[in-house]
Amino acid sequence: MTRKTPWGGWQWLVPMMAFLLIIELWPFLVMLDQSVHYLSYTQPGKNGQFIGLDNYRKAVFDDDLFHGVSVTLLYMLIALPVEFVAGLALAVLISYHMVLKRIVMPLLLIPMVLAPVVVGLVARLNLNPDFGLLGIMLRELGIAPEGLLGTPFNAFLTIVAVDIWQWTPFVTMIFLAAIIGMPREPYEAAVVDGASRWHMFRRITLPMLQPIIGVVLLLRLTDAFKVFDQVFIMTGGGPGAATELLTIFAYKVNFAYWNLGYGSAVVALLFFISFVMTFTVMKLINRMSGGKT
Amino acid sequence: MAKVRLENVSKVYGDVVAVRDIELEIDHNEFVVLVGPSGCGKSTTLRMIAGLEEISGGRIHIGDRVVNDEPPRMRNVAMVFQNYALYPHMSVRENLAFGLTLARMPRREIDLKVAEAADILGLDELLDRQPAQLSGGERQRVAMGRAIVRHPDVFLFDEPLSNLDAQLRTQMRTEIKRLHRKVKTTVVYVTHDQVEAMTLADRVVIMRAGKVEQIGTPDDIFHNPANTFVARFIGSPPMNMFDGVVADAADGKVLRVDSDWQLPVPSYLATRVETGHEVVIGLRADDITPRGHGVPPREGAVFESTVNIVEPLGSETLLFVNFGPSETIAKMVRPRRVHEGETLSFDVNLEELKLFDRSSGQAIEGVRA
Repeated sequence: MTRKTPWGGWQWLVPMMAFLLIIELWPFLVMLDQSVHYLSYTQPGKNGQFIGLDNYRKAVFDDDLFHGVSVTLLYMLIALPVEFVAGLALAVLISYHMVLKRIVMPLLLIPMVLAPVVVGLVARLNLNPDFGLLGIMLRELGIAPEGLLGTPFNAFLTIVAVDIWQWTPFVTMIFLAAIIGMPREPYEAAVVDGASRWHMFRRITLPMLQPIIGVVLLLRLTDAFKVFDQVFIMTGGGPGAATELLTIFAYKVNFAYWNLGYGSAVVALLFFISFVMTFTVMKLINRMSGGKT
Repeated sequence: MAKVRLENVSKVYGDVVAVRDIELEIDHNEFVVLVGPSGCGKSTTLRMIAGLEEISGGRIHIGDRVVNDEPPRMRNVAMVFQNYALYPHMSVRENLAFGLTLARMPRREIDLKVAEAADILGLDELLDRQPAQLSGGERQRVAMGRAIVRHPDVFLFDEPLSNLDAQLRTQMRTEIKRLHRKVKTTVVYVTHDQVEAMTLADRVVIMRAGKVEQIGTPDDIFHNPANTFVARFIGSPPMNMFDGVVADAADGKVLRVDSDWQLPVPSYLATRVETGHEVVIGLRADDITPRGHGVPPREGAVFESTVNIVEPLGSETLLFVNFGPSETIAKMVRPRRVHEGETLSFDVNLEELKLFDRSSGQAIEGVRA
């Protein structure tokens, strides 16, 4: 029972499409346009001059940008594996003892519902060595007397730790939901077949979680790549440039140095990296699940 | 190959008693079917044998071991589940081999056993498929294969055919029977379908509300049901039942259904009932036949009645006819065409008439010459 509608129903998409065009595509195009022009508050005289791919050429050889990429990648390389392993372990543990769920779930929800700015503020204030609760305790114990955010190495580890603190619960929640939703019978069959708990986890739970793992990985990758607010609040990219993520670098170029033409090129590159990364991971996930089911 | 013995086994969930003091001995290579309506405790009993449910009371023996505290993997049992419970991410081959790899059996031996099971069940072509690519019947065969490869002491089947369509169910039923002939093992099989129970079992255990109502061969429970529940549960159509009272008449004792309707007390029961005894009369459709269809009974009674409903089944026809104050089902073999409203005379085979005590529901045992 199909009824022909004029334009095949596309007209119903017009409002949403228009909205997306205005909100998403238009600014993006403006940005691309800016990235091939000179636009900076330092030399207003040259503003508007078409300079082709000069900004991109500069960006590719920019050590600071390269530094931003490295910091971001390192940040993701440490935070994500920890979040996955800890999140999965917690989920499995809770699924064995469902009584835990009622107690642990609300606690897990707290970091997730906090706005990143709040997380950043809470961490920064608490870690302050002069008046922060944690900061004073650490100072008294002789650990990091200059405050955890005071040295490059500690500051970097701290922003990673805060990410882990905030996002492990998210990973746990999704895995837990998936584990609870799994059919019970394969487990019973496995018990009769002689499987131990470890076997069941390794041979049944983990393979059956595979599609979910892919989705969570994708979500966390894209999210971690664009982390900005909490780190900016905590360290502003410092000390030095120890925690200067790519996003913070882009912010600084645009709104601290007001080099908007170059800044636009940096953001375009950021978009490009993120796009390639997401696309690759999606391909990988598809191939992994495509071969199996 | 092992004996299984359930000794006073019970299962309690909080205040609910799911299984109450079950006593059952299953012999080597015997095929025992637990059957009963849903909620009768048959699956729980099976799961206790498997080790998937803790035993609240009593003891379960497999072979010469008490297995109460043994985890499932120590019991050497294999189970086939209603919804197959295949591992969805593994190929058929991996599904079959799973239990063996857990036992750290050498690769070559596993391959041999998988090939052997696949051969028995006709799964050779399907070994590299994923469960999602199989039909219901094929999945069920894989589930059985997974049990066979392990050469268990006991096979446990939990309603293995209830997810299949009627035709496939009949076919798989025969396959299971054939399989049991080939792979001699003790089998405990749970179903709610009395036809499955009758066709497969060496012995049938009929359960209701957590208790065993009767244990016997299919023949035995069909012809000598222990009580009204078993009589109604086994056989299709169900046994016709009427309330009656034993009364005296000129030519001996009769069963009075109401003032106009009575049947003679069969001779094998004559010494077992006394005047005034309130009973339930049980008669299978097979024993109420239109005259001229089937062998006339050696000890019979005749009545005339109007046919209300005709249900032709091909090789036989069921007739719903008035029988005193109530209605009964009669069976016509080698049927001719019968019209609704037609009046026929019927033979009642008194030798197969059953009597049950009305207050207890228990069968009144007769004395056969």
